[in-house]
Amino acid sequence: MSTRRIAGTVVVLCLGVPLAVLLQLAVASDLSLVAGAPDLVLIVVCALALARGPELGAIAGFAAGLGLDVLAEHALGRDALIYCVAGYCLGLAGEKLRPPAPVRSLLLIALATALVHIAEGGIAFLLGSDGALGRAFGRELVAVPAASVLFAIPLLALLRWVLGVKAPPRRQFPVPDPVTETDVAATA
Amino acid sequence: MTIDRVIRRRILLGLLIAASFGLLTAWYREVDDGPLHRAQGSVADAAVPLSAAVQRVARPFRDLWEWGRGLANARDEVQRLQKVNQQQAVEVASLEQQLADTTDYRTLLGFTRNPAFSGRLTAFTPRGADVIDRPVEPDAVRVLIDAGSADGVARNDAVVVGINRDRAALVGIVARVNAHSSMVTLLTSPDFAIGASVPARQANGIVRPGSDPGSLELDDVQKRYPVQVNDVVATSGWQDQSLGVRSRLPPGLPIGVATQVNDPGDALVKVIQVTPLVDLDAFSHVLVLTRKGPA
Repeated sequence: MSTRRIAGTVVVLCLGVPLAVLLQLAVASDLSLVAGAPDLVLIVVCALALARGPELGAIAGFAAGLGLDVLAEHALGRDALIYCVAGYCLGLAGEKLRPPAPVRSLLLIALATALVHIAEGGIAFLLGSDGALGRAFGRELVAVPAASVLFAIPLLALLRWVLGVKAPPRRQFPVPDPVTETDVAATA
Repeated sequence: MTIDRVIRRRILLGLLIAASFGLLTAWYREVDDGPLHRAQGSVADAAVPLSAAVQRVARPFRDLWEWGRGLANARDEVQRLQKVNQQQAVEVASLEQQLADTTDYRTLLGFTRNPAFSGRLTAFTPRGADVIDRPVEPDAVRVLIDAGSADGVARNDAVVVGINRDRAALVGIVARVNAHSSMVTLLTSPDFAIGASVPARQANGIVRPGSDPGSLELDDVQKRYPVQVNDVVATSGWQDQSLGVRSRLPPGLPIGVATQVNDPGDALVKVIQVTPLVDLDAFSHVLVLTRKGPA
């Protein structure tokens, strides 16, 4: 791994993840669209997992989730568990799609956001919050992924640049050879 | 990818999940002032200045976002209010129409209850009807009403419109009767002519359409009757006892007011210009005076 990539990973892990946690708690709730706020933490975890694989995805997810648990002062380990599994799965998906194109990354973020939202509601329901599961399947299930995708468009591009991820090469379609004049004369 | 790496990453995931469950279990099992809770509170307290700094830095962006969202909401609100306005305009128009109808009905009912006027109509039964069709051109001479032979309406019945609570004025007569509708010929129709009088001067004549559109003339008035401007012209309601015939119109039903008296020196009769009491282009509710007995 080149120094550039290592530096990018360290920057995102040590700076991007804590910043995302702080922004998520301090600002993201004010950036709601219709009925859902973007999941900035998941966008950062997703960028790291897609670029560096499931191990770093799981570690980043666990750290970010634990940060959310501590700062939001709810049950320790709840978000750590969810984001850790999400980071791992996104990493595995990233390996299958490598190099992941931006549009596929956005679709993965939308899917992951929806699943994380359901998981949060499910765990809250298991821990005694009766209405949590109903809220998880409400209109937030569409609004939160939509808001996340909207914010992920610039954020993901920035993170890909920091992590040194190159854009996948454009698909090349085979072009038939032009018919030469001699071939044309021979056919005639 | 080597098997070792796959196993390693699974072990890592297992450890992280186990750590999460361990934290969850420990957090729920310990008391509120246990070490995990205290540590969580301490870290959260320590992060407060950091969180405040992030909020301060992010404030302009958040304000910009809020401004944009407010703008979008304002546009939505404008569209919503425009729709509400349109709906309310329709409702207002409907209510205004109902109010106008109610006023008309009150006027119609008022004069039928006024003994001074309705005393002359004892031989008639007023039937209420609405104008359901009126030619679009100005100075139309026929209208269609929604009462017909099924309602007792007969040909040549008088059609009146309330002027105020005390009086009604003639607007035309029934020209053709269907089962549930009738065609009314208005006073200004070229083929309209009825016997009329100026009750204040005892003068009789025939009301016909005037030369100007929408105007009437009282013709064949003897010169000896001193008809004046502003005299009311009304139906004469003539009858001939010897022949046993009579007009289907009641006597004394106002038609219009005299606006000009033409008395040429070499003529035997006067011609009086009459203006109808009712705007013949505007009424929408009428009463048809149907006879109680045989014609």
